[in-house]
Amino acid sequence: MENKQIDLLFKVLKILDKKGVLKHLVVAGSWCMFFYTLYFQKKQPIASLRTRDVDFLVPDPKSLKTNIDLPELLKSLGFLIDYRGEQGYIRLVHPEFFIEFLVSEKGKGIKKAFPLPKLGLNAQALRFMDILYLKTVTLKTRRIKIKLPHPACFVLHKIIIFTRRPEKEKREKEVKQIDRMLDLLGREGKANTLKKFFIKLHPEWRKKIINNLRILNKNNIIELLQ
Amino acid sequence: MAIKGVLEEELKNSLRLRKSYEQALAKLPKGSLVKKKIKGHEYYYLLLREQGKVKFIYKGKKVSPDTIKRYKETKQLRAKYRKLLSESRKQIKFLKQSLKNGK
Repeated sequence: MENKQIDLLFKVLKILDKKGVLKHLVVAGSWCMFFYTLYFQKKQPIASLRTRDVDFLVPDPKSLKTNIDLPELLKSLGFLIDYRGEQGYIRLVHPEFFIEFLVSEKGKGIKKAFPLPKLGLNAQALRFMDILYLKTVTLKTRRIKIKLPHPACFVLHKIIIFTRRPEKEKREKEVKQIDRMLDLLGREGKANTLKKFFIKLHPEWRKKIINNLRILNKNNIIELLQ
Repeated sequence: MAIKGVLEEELKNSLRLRKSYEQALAKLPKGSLVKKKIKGHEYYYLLLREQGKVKFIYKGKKVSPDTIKRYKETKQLRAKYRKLLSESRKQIKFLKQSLKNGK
């Protein structure tokens, strides 16, 4: 089942690449863990638990120049449009996975879907997404380039958001991912990069991260960051 | 515990997915376009099933290439959606069973 899922994911990525959209996107969410396994050339998956949601972050929606109708393009692969919630966020669904688009929530935030007319769909605006594109890394695989958040940015984002998860199980999943990623950064000798990106964050966000690390009893990471 | 949460979320997703494919299938135009050769002449018919009976609805001697293309695409899409609907049903069964066994 997994190979089928991954093959379909790469079909979608190739379509996005061919249409000149992929370079404007950053993979977000638990699928990053899958791509980090490839990025760090690990034989074993960094994390085996992930949902079917493949999230694409659009750091700069204005950078999208070409008009495409993504739902129509993916229709032949069997994807359907699913409208979620009162705001009508569009999700492209398929039994193998779902595709969602995200943008960074600015200011007081918006309570409606963020339109992405160049892609023929909309996105959900979420807080703290800026952390994910503070620094990105590029994975070159199967003749395409996929942008991922720098692993340190990914883990800082996870640390800041895990307490915002109302469901206990989702919080546990986030904590597992934080542990795996901190472990990976340590093993790859990249633990110091955490501080590099941490100091670039808004003081309020830094405070939140420190508080959340206290909840997780990660005193060694607090020491590293301060 | 985290795995239970993921399974529950995936079950919700699969139930929505099943509904979406059922709705998409219901929205597709019914029937397939077929060409019959009768006494050396070709005629187009719309072949469909209504209340368990097979019906041929006469469409004419000539049908525009656009119509032929549309019916061909619909047929492909219907087959695809049926396959994916079946997959989502299997996922629901699997997820329900996994959640039941994990209790």
